[in-house]
Amino acid sequence: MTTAALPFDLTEDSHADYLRAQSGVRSWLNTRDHKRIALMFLGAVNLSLLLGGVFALLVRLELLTPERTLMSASTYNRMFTLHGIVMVFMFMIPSIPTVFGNFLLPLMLGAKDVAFPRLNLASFYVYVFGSVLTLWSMIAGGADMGWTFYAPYSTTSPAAVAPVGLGVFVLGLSSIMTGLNFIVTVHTMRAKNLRWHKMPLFVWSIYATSIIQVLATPVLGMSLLLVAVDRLFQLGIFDPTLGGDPVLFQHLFWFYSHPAVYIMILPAMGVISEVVCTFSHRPPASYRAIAYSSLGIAFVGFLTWGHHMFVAGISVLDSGLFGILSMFVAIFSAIKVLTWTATLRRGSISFETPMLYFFWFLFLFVFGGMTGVAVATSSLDVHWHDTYFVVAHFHFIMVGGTLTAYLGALHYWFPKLFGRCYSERWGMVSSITVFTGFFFTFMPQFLLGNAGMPRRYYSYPEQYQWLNVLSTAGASILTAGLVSTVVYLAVALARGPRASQNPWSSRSYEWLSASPPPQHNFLEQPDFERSPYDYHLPEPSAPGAAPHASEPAHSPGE
Amino acid sequence: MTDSNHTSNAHAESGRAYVFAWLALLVLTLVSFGAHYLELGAFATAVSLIIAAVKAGVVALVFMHLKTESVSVRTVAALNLAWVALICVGIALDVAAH
Amino acid sequence: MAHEPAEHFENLAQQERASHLGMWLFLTSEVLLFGALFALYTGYRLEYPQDFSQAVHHNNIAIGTINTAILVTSSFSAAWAVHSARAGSRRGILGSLGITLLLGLVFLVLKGIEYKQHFDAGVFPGAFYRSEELPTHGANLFFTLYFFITGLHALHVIGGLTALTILGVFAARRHYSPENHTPLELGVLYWHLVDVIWIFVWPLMYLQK
Repeated sequence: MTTAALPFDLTEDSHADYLRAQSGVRSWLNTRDHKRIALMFLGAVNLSLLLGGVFALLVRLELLTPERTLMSASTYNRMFTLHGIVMVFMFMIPSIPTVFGNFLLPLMLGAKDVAFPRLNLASFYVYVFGSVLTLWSMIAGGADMGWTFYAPYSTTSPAAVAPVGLGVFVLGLSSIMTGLNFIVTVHTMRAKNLRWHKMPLFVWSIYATSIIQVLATPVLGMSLLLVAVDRLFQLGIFDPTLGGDPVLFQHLFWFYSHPAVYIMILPAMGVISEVVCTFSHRPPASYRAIAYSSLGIAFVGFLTWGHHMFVAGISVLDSGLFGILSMFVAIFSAIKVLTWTATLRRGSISFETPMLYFFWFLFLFVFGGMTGVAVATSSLDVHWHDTYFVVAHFHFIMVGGTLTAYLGALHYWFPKLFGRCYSERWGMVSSITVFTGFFFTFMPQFLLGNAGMPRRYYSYPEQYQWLNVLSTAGASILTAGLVSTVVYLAVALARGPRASQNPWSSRSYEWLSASPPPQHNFLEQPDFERSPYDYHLPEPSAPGAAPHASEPAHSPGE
Repeated sequence: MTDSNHTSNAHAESGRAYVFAWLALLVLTLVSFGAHYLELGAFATAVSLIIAAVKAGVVALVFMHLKTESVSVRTVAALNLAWVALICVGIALDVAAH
Repeated sequence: MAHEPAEHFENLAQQERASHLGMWLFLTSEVLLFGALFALYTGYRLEYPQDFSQAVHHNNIAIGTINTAILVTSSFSAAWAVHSARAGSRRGILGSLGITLLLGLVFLVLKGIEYKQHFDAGVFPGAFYRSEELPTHGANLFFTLYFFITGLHALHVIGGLTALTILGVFAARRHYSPENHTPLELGVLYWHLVDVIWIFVWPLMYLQK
């Protein structure tokens, strides 16, 4: 253990944890501390999750009966559009990177902060502004083109498409700022002895995500800008009556939006990699396999966008190429899944809430991924395209993957974020409820889609009703699980027992800091020569534990 | 940043490099302009884009100091070109193969 | 003037590495913003080869070429500003930036003259297109893209000129030393990007027959 002091003066103040180091509303709104910014993002993306969830519930309620249940067809169109846009651009894309990436990256790299703290704060306000602009469209008449903005409908629809387009453009800016900041942080802010191959796997996945954010988001920005300008000034650039080609819009849109799926799932994979090692008390079966396959997914993810367009009339050559390249993603994903399961082998597994989420993730991701290979086969896709099969597939991957990992991360790092422990029993029960609800929401949708029910439709033949009722029932169970999660986490926040520095006996670097961490992350710079997965060695002593040494420390489950 | 010993020499050298780069850019602009009036047919686009790429390379390497930048910055610069090419080729393979 | 790194950096070298890499990543996102438009250009040009060829012919190749020479020269003078900063010559910085600003303004004026010529000929973007000389869909699309790309580029020129003006004011106030002039380097990098984008716009919008 090196004992080199930090190269700046430690005042009494910086000994206090980051939550108490300063007080007052302004100390939050004007903070540069990555940990506080992470918490502000946590509040904001949870609000988005709530909103998107309410829209989803309304959609599911409407689909309870074959005809009108509680809203008109045009309201229904606005509901599923908002559900998609809020969930994709305001929840899933920012969720894990802005909350856990922000909080953990500097801790895992032994840095005092991210490379550009002011840019980090700016990205939060840009996110808020973009969200407000997006939601303002609700008041301005709502948007009804679905989250994909497909032209020429999006350029001619009478609904308020322009504010949504510009709102998502602004959200994209925030996403680029976050990605840029994280790439530079990983490259330049690592502690002196921390080499690339000693970085925790979560960092690798956030790094790969950031590359996609910087390289792909501008293309989405431009295509949405074109749609918005088209509406404002009648450019007609995707309008067939002026010779425009709507398929070119789809190319640009999916050039971003396919890699965007990996913006959502790669951070989730990072969380899963950390959780599986900690709760199996084993190093990953292959560190390099997991680290490099993240980069592999980021790269190949850029070569597959055409598989969304098999029935849009793209050339046979493009269909073939994109179909085959899409299969490569499955190879890298399989490498990850096999490495995680191999990590379990001979591990001493402890079943706690985050680990439960690991198993849900594994099931949903593998199932969703295999159906993905099926729809990437262009001949099969003709049957499934734009049916509920595809809806179920991407909800399994994106929601099943991202949401379970997000919840897993929230539980795993909750003691680190807030220095409190939640009720393990409620955690387990809610986790099982979330999975059960999720499974019964989307499993019927595979069957519906395979039986031919198209997505986005307001009414459907009666033979589909029982599966729709099952799906809506599942959504209600899912809601119950999420609500109870919010409740017991809020209770834990207010009066949960104090968490010890390292309640899960993890070896990763962020647990070397106190819970919650001091303002400058480490009171004493830890030893980054050792691996963050050295479970074969005795547990290192805790250098940052001093501030809470006087308080009784509990582990969750006590 | 700078070492006082070798700077004056390196400084004069980089000054000359800037002037050469500027002249090269002007010459390449003229060459491209001239090529426009040759009947190159199907190759005209390729020729003008290759010249443009060389010019962009000169700006990046000399004016933007890519020659002396870190490996990470050079990788980023290379990704620029590759990704614009990727999206253009992906679309071209669709439109041209119809 | 003593320069201290920001609190969260270990030293100035680390801060400078971070800001350079950050700037290049920002430029990358800018390049891909334009990249989307170049991709659209690729698609439409392959769909309407004849119309595009005629529309390119309509553009003023003299102004386009002169503007290309102006921008590469302004890139040179901008690079010379950094060169002067390394030599510690404040007058060198200010002179080079002055020339760069002047060339940038001339570029914008010439661009404006060109736009005026287009408007006089009824060449407007999108649904406002009125050209009787080139009444095709392809030509209409070409000019919509032309206005979008050159318009966005002109906005970047204006942004770059604003940045260079601010940097000039800082330079005049002796903010930059041979050891530390990172903001100037980054601003000039942005100006080079504006040049590089035009280097590709020129052959695509003026030279193809």
